[in-house]
Amino acid sequence: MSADLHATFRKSYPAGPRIEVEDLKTAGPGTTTVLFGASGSGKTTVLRCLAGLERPEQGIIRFGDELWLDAHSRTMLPPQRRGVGFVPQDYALFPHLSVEQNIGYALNGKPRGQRQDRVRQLVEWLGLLGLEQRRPRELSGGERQRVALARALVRRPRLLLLDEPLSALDAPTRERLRGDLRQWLKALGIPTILVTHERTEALALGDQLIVMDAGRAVQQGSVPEVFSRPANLAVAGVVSMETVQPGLVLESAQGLVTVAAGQSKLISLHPPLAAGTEVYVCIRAEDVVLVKGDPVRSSSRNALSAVVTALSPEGPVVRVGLNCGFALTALLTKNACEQLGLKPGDAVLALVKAPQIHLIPR
Amino acid sequence: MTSMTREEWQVVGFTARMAVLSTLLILPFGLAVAWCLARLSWRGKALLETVVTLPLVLPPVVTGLALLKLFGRWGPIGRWLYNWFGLDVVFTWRAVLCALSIMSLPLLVRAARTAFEDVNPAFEQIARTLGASEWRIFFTITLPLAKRGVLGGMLLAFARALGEFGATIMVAGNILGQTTTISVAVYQHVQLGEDAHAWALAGVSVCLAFMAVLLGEILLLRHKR
Repeated sequence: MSADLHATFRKSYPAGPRIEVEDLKTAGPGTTTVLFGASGSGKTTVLRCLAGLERPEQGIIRFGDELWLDAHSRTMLPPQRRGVGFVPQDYALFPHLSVEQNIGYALNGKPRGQRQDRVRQLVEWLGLLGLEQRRPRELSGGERQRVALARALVRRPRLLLLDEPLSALDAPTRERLRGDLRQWLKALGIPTILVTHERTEALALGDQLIVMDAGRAVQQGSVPEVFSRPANLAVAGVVSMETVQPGLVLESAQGLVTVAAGQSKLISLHPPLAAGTEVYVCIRAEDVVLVKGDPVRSSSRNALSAVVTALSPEGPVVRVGLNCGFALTALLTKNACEQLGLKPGDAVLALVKAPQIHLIPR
Repeated sequence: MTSMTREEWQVVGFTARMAVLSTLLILPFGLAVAWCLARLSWRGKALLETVVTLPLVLPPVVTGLALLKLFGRWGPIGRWLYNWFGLDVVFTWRAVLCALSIMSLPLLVRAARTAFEDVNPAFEQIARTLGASEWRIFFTITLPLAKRGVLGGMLLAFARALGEFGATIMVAGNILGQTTTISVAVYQHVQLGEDAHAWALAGVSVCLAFMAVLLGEILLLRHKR
């Protein structure tokens, strides 16, 4: 039985920022809600409020039909009784306890056999066999991350909170664990809230996205929705990736990956991916070149027939909305736009070079 | 060097016992105060800090005088103890224990407080999300992570108790076989011109202090591992 979190609150610091969240909702069992934003935008504070480690001065936090916080009636459920798994950014593994003791810490009071079985189960699941007797300082970054995850999961929490779970890792480990993490989170069957400032991580791990900017949750929605239709300039600046389209890998050959997206086939420069892999196809607006008129021969691997749907001037540039089987955004200078004489309804060719088609496996 | 008399060995044993006992006696209270100072904030916190530190900066004789007045049979605490339990404090071994405890408490509290403050609160917070009670967190996280500092503080307190003079002589006097401690005995020997005895006792007290510090170092090393 899994329930969802629903939170609206405000937390301010005497001489510091003010963190505001409105209508934050998780999206059901096995889903991940990503809190996305630059560092200092208040993401971690939100997690700490949800875990019960900070006390918002206003608002309500509910989990299912349980009331965790009601600032008005001064109700606050202590962290001990929220049943939340929390993995902080630096993992905070207890340095004086072994891996086994760290993971089993929350099982105090359970019979010994039961405790050992549960720890063993998680150790096997997260690939930590053989490390049970080590101290945290004798572990690699990736191992530490998994121990922290195991410790948070050992009591079968109802909600998992992850603060920048991959940021303390070196790049190759991060790549590898990102895929694993996605699988683990899906398999858990509880909602997860994950904080990150990395676009790739947000895209790879999130089912829904909440964008934080200067202490406020400014937009909440599905991943492609938030990226393609940022609610305001602040969100656009934070996500800075205009087109995010789900796609399916068709084949990988000679360093190029072919992907089906909408009705189009796109070619991307990307390390090989297995056919059938689900991906997000990401294209930045300034990487899209528009051509009008006769067919051209170009070096660009991708030429998409598109119809102009909208033109919105933004100072010296114009944001051009296109439909090429999926929604695509191009950013042109005002001059270029005038020379092409673009208007809504025009048929154009949208060119994107293979290295500028970014793929993020899901 | 004259060999030590039986009475002198008795004084040494008594002093060591009292010092150990007073260190153990102040441990729970001292750790509780140190934890409160390190982890909580409330109005009037500075007051508690000051009161606890006072014995460190007051002349020991003044502390002794205050204890004498408090614990005397007509003092507010002494009267109560006598009426209800028939206990005499002043000029008994209880007075020695009392003086040593009060005089060494600030050292334990200060060391333990710093040690607790050095423990990253993130560990305690994580333990809370894992369902641990505040008691369990203290005994399984905070205390183990602060043990070096706490051990150091206990050692300091013990050493301070071994050498205490001013407060002890005020409140416990100098009754051989009952309240005489090493420091008091050394002073008395010098007063009476029995320098050899004074030196012998001084030597023993150096040995005691040396062993205490060495033991502490060994314990710390083993924990460091």
